[in-house]
Amino acid sequence: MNTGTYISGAGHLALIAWVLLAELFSAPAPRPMEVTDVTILSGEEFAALSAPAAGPTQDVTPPETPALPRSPRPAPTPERRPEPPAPPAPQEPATPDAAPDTSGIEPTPPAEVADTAPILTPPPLSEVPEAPVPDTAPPRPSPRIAPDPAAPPPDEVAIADLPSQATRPDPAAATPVPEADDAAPEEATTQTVTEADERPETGLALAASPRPRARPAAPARPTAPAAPTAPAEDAIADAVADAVAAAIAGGEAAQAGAGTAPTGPPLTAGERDALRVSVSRCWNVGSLSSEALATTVIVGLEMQEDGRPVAGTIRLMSWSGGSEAAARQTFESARRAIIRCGAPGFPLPVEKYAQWRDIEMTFNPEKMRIR
Amino acid sequence: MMLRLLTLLLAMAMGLSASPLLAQSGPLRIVIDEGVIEPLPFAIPDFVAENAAASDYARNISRVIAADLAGTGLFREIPANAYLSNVTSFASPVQYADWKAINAQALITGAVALDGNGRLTVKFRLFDVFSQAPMGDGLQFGGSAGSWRRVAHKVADQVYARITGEGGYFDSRVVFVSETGPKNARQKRLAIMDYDAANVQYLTDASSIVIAPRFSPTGDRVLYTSYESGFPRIYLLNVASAGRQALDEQPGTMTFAPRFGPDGRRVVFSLSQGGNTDLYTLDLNSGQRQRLTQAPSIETAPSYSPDGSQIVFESDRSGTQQLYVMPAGGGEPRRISFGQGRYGTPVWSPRGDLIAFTKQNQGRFHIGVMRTDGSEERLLTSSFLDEGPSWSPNGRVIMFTRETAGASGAPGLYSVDITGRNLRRVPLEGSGSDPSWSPLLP
Amino acid sequence: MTPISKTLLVVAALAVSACSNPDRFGMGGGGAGGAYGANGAVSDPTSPAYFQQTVGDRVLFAVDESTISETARVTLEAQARWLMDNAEYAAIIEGHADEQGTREYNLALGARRANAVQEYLVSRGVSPARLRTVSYGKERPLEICSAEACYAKNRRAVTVVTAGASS
Repeated sequence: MNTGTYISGAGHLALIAWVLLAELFSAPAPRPMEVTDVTILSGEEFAALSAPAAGPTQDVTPPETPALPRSPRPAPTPERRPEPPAPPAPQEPATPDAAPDTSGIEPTPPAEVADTAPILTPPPLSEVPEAPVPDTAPPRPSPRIAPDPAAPPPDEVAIADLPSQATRPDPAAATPVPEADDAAPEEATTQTVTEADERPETGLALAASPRPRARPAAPARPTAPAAPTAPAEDAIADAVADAVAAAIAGGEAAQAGAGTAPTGPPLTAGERDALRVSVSRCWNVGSLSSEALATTVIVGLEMQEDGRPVAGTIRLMSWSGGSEAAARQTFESARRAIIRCGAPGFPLPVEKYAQWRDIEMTFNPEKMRIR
Repeated sequence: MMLRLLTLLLAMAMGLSASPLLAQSGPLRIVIDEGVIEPLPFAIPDFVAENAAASDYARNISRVIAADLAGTGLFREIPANAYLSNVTSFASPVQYADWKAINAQALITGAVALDGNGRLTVKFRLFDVFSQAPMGDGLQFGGSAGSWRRVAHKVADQVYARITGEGGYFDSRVVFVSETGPKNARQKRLAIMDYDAANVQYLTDASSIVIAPRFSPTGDRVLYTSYESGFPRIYLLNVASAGRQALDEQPGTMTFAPRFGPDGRRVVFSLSQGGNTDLYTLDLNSGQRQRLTQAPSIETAPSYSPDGSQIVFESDRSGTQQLYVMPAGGGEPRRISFGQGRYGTPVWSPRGDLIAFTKQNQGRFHIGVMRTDGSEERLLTSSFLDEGPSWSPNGRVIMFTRETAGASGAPGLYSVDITGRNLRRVPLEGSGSDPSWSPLLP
Repeated sequence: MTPISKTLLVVAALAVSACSNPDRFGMGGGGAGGAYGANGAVSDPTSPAYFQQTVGDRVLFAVDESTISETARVTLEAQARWLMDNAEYAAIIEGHADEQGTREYNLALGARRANAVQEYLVSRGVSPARLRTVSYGKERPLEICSAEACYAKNRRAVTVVTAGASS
């Protein structure tokens, strides 16, 4: 017999004792957790946190996460707010909250607030600090994705939607925007660069599972003569197109006379393109839901002679591809684009005002869906 | 050049053929199919404290809302020092020009009151600055002072929903495995936290290894695997009481990878016996067990479709780990992953349209998404070791584990937008793995 | 947890973790290193320490494989002989995987490896009643570097002999 055997024997006795007795000790009482740095959870606290079912009942079927706000709209609280200016908020006194939420939440000791409050001062989600540095980046990742890539602006240059060269002396410079002469377009890249894209050695993997390419161009809408997509800087094409348009206009003027048609020659391809580009630059689809990104809207509006849109006339005329709610999101993004980039006036020839007094813009976010 | 010529010809052809039409007096029509994708700038002046006691809450609540929104990557906060005017009263009219001037496209105003009973009332309004109109009605939330963070998250969820058109995800929690200690002797504890890593609380002690917790569809219970018995076994834990029960205790077997069905009653899991791992379901009410797969290969990491009709899982029946979909009651599986490398841990999105997965290829790990038929695969991340995606309640964001390499390597929680943008580390103190996102809290 | 049960747990963990509780890693803090304290002298051919160090308690596997290699076969032959000679011992076979894999898959893979060893030992005459298997997947690596040198040692099945076979 050696020591090992003794120890083993002793151990076995202990084990047997443990096996026999363990039940006694471990079975009852859900062991209080030993927690050092964090508050221990009492049942009530947990109930408070996870509102629905306090009881240990297994088959809990509480309302599956009732989207609390939209539910029944209780009558506006008769709060003291007869003021006319702002539409009084139909106060929704957190009804769905009431039963489960508030009552449940109550027990949390106020002390806890003091504990947790300081923690939050740094914004909860910080920019990923240890994200791997892109070893080599194909397109430069940028938080902004735009049709035309733009280099990071030189330091200390105001970011503007359009590279303004102080051309148009903004007639209605009502707003003291610090839009300096040398505002540069914000840095942008042409497509989303995911981390997976950033690594060249994963090229094979990506080749095997390519990101869906941009859809084949949608068939041109019959109603809207597709704006020629020739790059704006293509001077020759522009010039020819202008000439063509002028010729057409001439012919048309000759044959149709004045009539009820808008006066003045129609816009040239270049002019239309300039309008299209300036709206595009302000159309931010980054915060749209995926359904909204699959919804095309047609927006109508009236223009003032100075090239600025009449905000009140911007309206949703029709939509396709998504629900009404999705259409509303897309429309709102379109309206913001028109108002923002239209504020200094769109680059439209005033002599052809009659041609562009009424505009219908088709906003189709399809190409931006996965970009 | 060819293209330009074509364009030109097209333009001419259209111009000519359309020339009679041009005589019409219709509006000018243009098509905008290019836009930009950038965070939408918003301003959130500190909420107005309606009494002195509420002033800290007013500020902190505004900060949490701002952090929630900015953290999505879809919004960008305009710093307060750029403001041209302040909001001193919730009821006073909005100075749209001042907000337009600093390019704030959305404006959030609010007020906070704290009554003598410690009850907090928070109301807010959201404005579309350039349209000079409120977006939706004002809204008010109430709760105890201790719940101020939840109230802030609820406001942020509202703002998010009104602008993006899809539900938010801020008032939610994450159950995960908290890890401490060296790599070869890790201590693991189940823990729960707010989605933004606030309010961490532990659910188990470190006496046995725990892995891969999963929330029930209502967020009140958690399924996980523990070595409490010495063998991996699946357990059900009640979040409110922290009480737990072993679910399937067949001697000579190991059970793991449990997931709830959408009804919260059925559990699908893996059972290993004689070295072979197959999928089973367990009815929590009746205790009845059903075998779903019968193959000599590994079948594990199952996930129900949101309608409960199908299960996606991983199997190496083809020789390597790949993804398969089968009817929820069992039946012929259909392979959906065909790219290079190995695919595992599929998780069906709550919207039902996508499946997130872990992919291993050429020594690296990726989190990716694909359509439920396997098409349109996209990889979102790339690192030494990424795994275990979990969906946000609105199906827009994925949280996952990223482990760093080497002897001192440790896991952390990360999140990424399904576009692949906005990769962030969840600011959890210490190490964590295996996150599972709850539904939106009620 | 009461103080008494805590003490018992500690005793159990220190003295007989290799004998009874299949989860010899269970207490976490103790870790893999401290688990072999009470296995007797290496010089005693009937001791678990002898089994562990002289016979060889582990076999290694190729990436994503659970087949028994030639080298492993030699080790398992010796394990089988030892187990036949020392009938008072039982064994728990632990299957492990390296970190290059997803967590749950590795758990299943570890189960395969443990089972391969068990089947081999049974084929050499060891009673299946004396053998149990458990998988740790990638939860308990032996080596902690992130290189093949470490991975190779982590892709293992370890036969842990425990006294009290017939109990």
